Amino acid sequence: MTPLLLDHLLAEARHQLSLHHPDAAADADVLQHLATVQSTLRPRRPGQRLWRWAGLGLGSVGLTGAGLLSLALWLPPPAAPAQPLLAFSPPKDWPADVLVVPTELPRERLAWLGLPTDGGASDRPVQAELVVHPSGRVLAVRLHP
Amino acid sequence: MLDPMSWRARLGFVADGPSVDEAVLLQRIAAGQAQALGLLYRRESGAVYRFALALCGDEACALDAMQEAFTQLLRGATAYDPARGSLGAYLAGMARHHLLAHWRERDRYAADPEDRAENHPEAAAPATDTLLVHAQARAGLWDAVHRLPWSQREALVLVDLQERPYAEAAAIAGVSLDVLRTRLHRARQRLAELLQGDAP
Repeated sequence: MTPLLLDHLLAEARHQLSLHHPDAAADADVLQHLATVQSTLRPRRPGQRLWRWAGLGLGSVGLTGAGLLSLALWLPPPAAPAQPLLAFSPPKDWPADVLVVPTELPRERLAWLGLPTDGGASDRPVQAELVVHPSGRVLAVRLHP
Repeated sequence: MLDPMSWRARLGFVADGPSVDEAVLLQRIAAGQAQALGLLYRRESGAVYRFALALCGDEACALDAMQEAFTQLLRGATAYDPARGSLGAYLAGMARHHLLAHWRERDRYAADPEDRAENHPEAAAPATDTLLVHAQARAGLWDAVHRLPWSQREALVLVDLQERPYAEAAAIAGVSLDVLRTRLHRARQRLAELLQGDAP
């Protein structure tokens, strides 16, 4: 058998293989099984809700205490200025199911975007949030330098 | 207006390749979004299925391997490391692991070589008179592929039948590039011998 003939047979086999795919019923069965697995991977433990409420309660008490302390010391409440969202496409065109992905960026990227940077902190990454289209395209970024 | 992809590049995400998309999908899957699971399945299932089908020659076996690969991904969605390869390669590796475990348990292929040829979809496909010669040749080729030793068959399927890059094929098979090339060379030699009828 010549290498050329073998290549020809392999090419034909490659084409034949490429035509194979699970039929719709098999796909549906597999997806149903996977959905079942997916749903069981996030079990709600009996104590989970109790701990969640306990956490919320403790958090509320802490926040109330901090607020009262601030008033007592006549300090203005700590303001957390919202960072602007840098949109790469008009927000009106965004789909409803965009994803917000927290991430870190090298500080030098700020300069690439034409934003001012602190040279003394170049070794520290910048906290950021990406607004991501379901297809994976980045729609906007919010930086927390 | 600037191309959004250029902003991604400037933000340093293009260097990571397609993992951004995959990472987002996996995050959504881990969060329990069925839609994300369906999207990933539609995108990756075909290649995993064909990989398993070419190795085992049995649709039910290929479906099992594919389902197991996705199940394992679901159970360890956050454990997948994009730096070690594409998600498709990861899934193929999972399917391979399942097939090997299955065969070690049953040792089916060593025991009954005739059975695998009859069960192969190519052999079972109806052939008209005009296509008879071609169908026989194809069946002969698939039979020869399945008579290859496992390691050679795997290399041949990954590179010659699925056209995966050598590096990805080596990663799936868990061997170095040199070993993969050697296996592929031997697989082609052995396949030619089997098709000529020179080999036992």
